[in-house]
Amino acid sequence: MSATGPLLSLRQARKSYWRGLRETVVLADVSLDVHAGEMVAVWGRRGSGKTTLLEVAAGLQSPDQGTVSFQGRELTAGRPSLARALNREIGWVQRNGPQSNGMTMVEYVSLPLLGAHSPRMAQRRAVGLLERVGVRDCARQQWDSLTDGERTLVSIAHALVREPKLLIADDPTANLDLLQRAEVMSLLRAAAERKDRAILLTVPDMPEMLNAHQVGSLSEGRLLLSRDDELADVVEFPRRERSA
Amino acid sequence: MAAKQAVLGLVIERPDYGYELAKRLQERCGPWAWSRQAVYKALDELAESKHVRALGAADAASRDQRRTVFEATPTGIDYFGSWMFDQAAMEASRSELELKIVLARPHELPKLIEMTWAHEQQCVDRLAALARQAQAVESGGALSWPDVGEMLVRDIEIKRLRLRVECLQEARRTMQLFLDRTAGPSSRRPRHAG
Repeated sequence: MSATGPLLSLRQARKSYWRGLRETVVLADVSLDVHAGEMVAVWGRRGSGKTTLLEVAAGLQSPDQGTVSFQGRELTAGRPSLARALNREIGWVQRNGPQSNGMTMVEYVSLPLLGAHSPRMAQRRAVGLLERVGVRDCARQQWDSLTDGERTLVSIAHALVREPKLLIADDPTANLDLLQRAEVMSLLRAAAERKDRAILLTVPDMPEMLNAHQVGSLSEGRLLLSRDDELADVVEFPRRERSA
Repeated sequence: MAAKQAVLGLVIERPDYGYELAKRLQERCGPWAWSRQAVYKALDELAESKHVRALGAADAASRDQRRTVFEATPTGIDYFGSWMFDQAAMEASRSELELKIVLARPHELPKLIEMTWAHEQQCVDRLAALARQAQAVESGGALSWPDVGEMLVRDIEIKRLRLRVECLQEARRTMQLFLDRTAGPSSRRPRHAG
């Protein structure tokens, strides 16, 4: 990978499902670059293929055609060595919470570190991260007692604890109120810029996209990305107000 | 809304050259901005109706607007004040694309479907431009009214953009569905998710 090359790169990725004789195209010829330090937000209606896009980008699913590269290496889903590498380098914000009940949030967030660190060290890092995302108070609480907003922030801490180079989040702002949404999005943006980390996420609504460096819209398998130039600032659109 | 009021409002804020006014209009009003020619034309009209005058010149109309600084006259300031309190007109509810959809013949639908993609791309580009603006404001210092006003208008525009994108997607799907149904089973294309 060159110093300026994208961290994650999708090239003409295509993915479809068959139901009987009928083919449903979820991704048709999708190309996307995400660079270090950049946050890319994709909006789409429910069922537009946003989650499939993220799974293909994370190497969890292989595209039927086209390629997905991470740090210049092509990803092929299902290779165990690759999966291990991905586990370290690619973080996924999961909002399901811990599998088992009775776990405190500091235990939950420190979980991904336990193989490589002592429990005490892992917990210290987890507390530091909970503090950074603004939910230090939740450290000794259990998942069931948290609000939706707190759950999202804890989930982000859980995904960040291993310091992934690429963070992927599927609608992290769903079910949050306006202020919580703004808080989560600016937190994610800071997480991208501060650590030169790439973030690819989907958003349920458009205002969240204001925090992103690059925005896109996914529908009918096509991903329309904002064109990366200042031309958009002077585009003559919409014109109808002018003649009214 | 006419370009006249927008140009007059900016001149009241600060006297300026025609060229600079067109630039400021672009920055402040984004998608509502008018072309440079429309700004010059508005300045002509405003000078004729004595709402603005060229600084240091008695006859504004005879000067080149690009190199003339215009300032508002007391009449212009009064006029702008009364416009501000006029009931704002509802915007035209139909775009040119909608008109084309209504009037299209079936063989023209594929072209219109392509057009919806182009419009959606413009919406996405516009969103990115709004994001750049929003980030510029956030990193600035204390908020003033023009900043807060812009923020509010930006929020309204995002809501419009979202509605617009959803309508474009719906129109595209419906046109495609119509084409699929009328073309018969032999030429069926793969279905898209969504």
